[in-house]
Amino acid sequence: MNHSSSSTSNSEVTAETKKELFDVRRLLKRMALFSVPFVVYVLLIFAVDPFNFLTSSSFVSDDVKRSTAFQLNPCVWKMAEFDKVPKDKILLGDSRMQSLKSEDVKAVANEDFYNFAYGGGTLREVIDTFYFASKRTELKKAIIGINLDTYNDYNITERTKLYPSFKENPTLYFVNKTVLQSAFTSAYSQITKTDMKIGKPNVDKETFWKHELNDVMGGYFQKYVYPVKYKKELEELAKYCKEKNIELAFVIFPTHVDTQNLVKSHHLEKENQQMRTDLSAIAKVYDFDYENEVTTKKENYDDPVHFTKPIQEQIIREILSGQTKIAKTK
Amino acid sequence: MLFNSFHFLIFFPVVTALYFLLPHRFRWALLLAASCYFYMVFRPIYILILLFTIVVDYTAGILIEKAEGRKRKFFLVASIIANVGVLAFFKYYNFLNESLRDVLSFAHLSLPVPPMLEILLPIGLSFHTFQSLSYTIEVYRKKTPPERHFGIFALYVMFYPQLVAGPIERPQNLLWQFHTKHYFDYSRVVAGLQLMLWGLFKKVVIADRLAPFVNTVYNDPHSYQGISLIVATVFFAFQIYCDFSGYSDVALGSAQVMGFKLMKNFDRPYFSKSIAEFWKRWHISLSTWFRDYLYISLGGSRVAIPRWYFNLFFTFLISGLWHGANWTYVIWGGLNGLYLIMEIQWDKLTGGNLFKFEGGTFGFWAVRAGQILFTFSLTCFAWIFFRANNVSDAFYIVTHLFSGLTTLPSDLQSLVFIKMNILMQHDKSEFIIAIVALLVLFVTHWLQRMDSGRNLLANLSTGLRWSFYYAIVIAILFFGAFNESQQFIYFQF
Repeated sequence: MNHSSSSTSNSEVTAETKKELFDVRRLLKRMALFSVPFVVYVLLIFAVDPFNFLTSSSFVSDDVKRSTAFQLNPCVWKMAEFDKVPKDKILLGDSRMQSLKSEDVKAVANEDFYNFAYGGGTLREVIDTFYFASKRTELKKAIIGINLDTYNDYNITERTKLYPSFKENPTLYFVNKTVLQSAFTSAYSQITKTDMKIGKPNVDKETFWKHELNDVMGGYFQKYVYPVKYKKELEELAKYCKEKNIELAFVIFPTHVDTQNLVKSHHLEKENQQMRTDLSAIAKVYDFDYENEVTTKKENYDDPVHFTKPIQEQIIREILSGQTKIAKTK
Repeated sequence: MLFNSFHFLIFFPVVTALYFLLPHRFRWALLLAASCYFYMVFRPIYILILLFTIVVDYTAGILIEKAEGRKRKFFLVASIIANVGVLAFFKYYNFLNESLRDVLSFAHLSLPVPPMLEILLPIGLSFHTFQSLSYTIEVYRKKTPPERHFGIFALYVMFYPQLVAGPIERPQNLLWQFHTKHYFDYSRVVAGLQLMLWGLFKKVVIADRLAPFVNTVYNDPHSYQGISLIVATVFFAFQIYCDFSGYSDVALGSAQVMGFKLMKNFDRPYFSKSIAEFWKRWHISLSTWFRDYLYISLGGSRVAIPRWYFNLFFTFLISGLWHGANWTYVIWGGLNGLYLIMEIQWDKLTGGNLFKFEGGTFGFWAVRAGQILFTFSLTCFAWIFFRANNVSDAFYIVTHLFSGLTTLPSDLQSLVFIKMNILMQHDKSEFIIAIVALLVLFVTHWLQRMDSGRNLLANLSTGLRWSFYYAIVIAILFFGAFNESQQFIYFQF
């Protein structure tokens, strides 16, 4: 009796164990099958590495990556690049500062700067990037481009967190939609030899001018908030520079008179003046943004805020040689 | 440890694999150790508070069973005082102290007051305190015998899936499950994983994508009015739902994978047609806790009408205070209590028939949609107080909700207006992702009217089902907000 009940119980256990093993195998098999596309994707990221985060070489050329990944997220691209080859002189700011190419700076002023400015860059990004660079290397010089639209507490874009988060947890690099998009566009562009034309406006100059003036700059000025917090952070940054012997300067880039008039029509002249007072109390300021021979001519501009190459070279000469012609220095 | 972290991605499969590999008699120890680790990732020292609660209530349970007459009540009250005392100290000390200072200053009295303390609230304190309390109350009410196995009792209080944000379980539902051997069952494990996946989707794709919009407005409400405040408030309604129900889904799912069945915490609450219904479908484990242990103890509805209304209102006030030591939560609780009283009164006046429509399908659905929208609007109005950083912000939002709405149609023609007031300066792709994810949520909930999500999936062909899985996993991985490491809102409670 005992023997029979024990053998029944044993066979039940065996049946239960068998079912469990069968179920475990079934689940593992299906999960393995389900994972295949993700494994392929991970391999693709390794192979393309759109931001050169994992390796220094991949099957996609740097030129292709510059026209794709860099356009999609310049912060990650530049932080990764700087992390590998840091320089002790940096340029910070938005697209206006970004337009001053390092090669031109070297050619005009014979100084080796890393251009750490981003299209659409905000003050938050400028400050974060400064400390990122300073943590990476011993800085000697930092020039920051600021205009009223960036000296604005309402301008809250913050893309500079991404690269440090990748450094902290590299797995995030594989599950980021910018990396995904960049990997596919880079691979596609490389294989098909197509220019992806990312970030290039597909409209005529006049239409783009109006869009930039009314929608973009108008948007910034409509919700202008005086940046109390950022002013304090800039003061701390200047103090830090003094302690570390880092030469600091600000540049207020020339905007077309249309933009200057927009400032007036939004009743922000007082804030515009306050910005100049604040910045000059912190460090040396090169101010190009007033009615002058550059800002009154439309041919000096691609749009109401972005100046042409000859003006870029003039700005470089003035801020790096110290011999100013248009810039007012404070 | 957060459910939406890579840490948990390693922790969960390792603990689950070990759980099924170990003989049944050792499993409780594994789960207890895993739960301790899960909790100690937040702040190790606070495990001592949990230990205190466990020791007090374990002892109280046994003493209550052995005692007779008034002694039983004494042990119950002692347990309640110990539990509520810990909760009161960590959660309400500074709040009460500050309120006392305000009152004294208002009355121009200068009396000595105790100092403010720098206290960091232990994570999930209100949840495990309430779960532990429900044990001693149920033992006192003789609805469950005391648990003699100290380890199992500790596990009842600390079971990691529901340790920090519920569901707040009852001993009758959970304790016996720790004594039962659970086998690895393919269908159950898959169902659990599906629930976890859906919960993560709700948390990282919807809640965390909506959070930046809500935070921008609610952290600086005075810069906004009208449509921005409305959008942020509606977004918050979905953010908090997806955040909390997402957590509950992962909790239920991870427990289900190991063979445990936890109570359902949410049942598509925004489809409620009345406030009373909403509270039967929102945070069910807490609502029923308050109903069973506070509202009914006060006399429930079996008293004179004024007293009944007081019971309701008081229960909701306490529920508000349970959420946080801030007057905004108290007002939120009070508002919900008022809604419920007004609803009861309205039903009494109209006989509950005013909105009952029996003339045709269209009319039926229109009335139903109206009821759902009205209930949702009332809920959103109350959420303003729940989310606002302080009472003054909340009143600003309430008084400016409809400002500028008359010019809205023409304002919406301007891209600048949309960028500033609808997108709140955020990337439009973030907004689109959030809206698409909300649509997925709406469609899923709509379909769940007919059948459970599990059955709906089971009825799909393998190809469609796998496509759905891929879509959800891809959405979680690429549209989820991992790098911002957002905590669950309810962790702070």
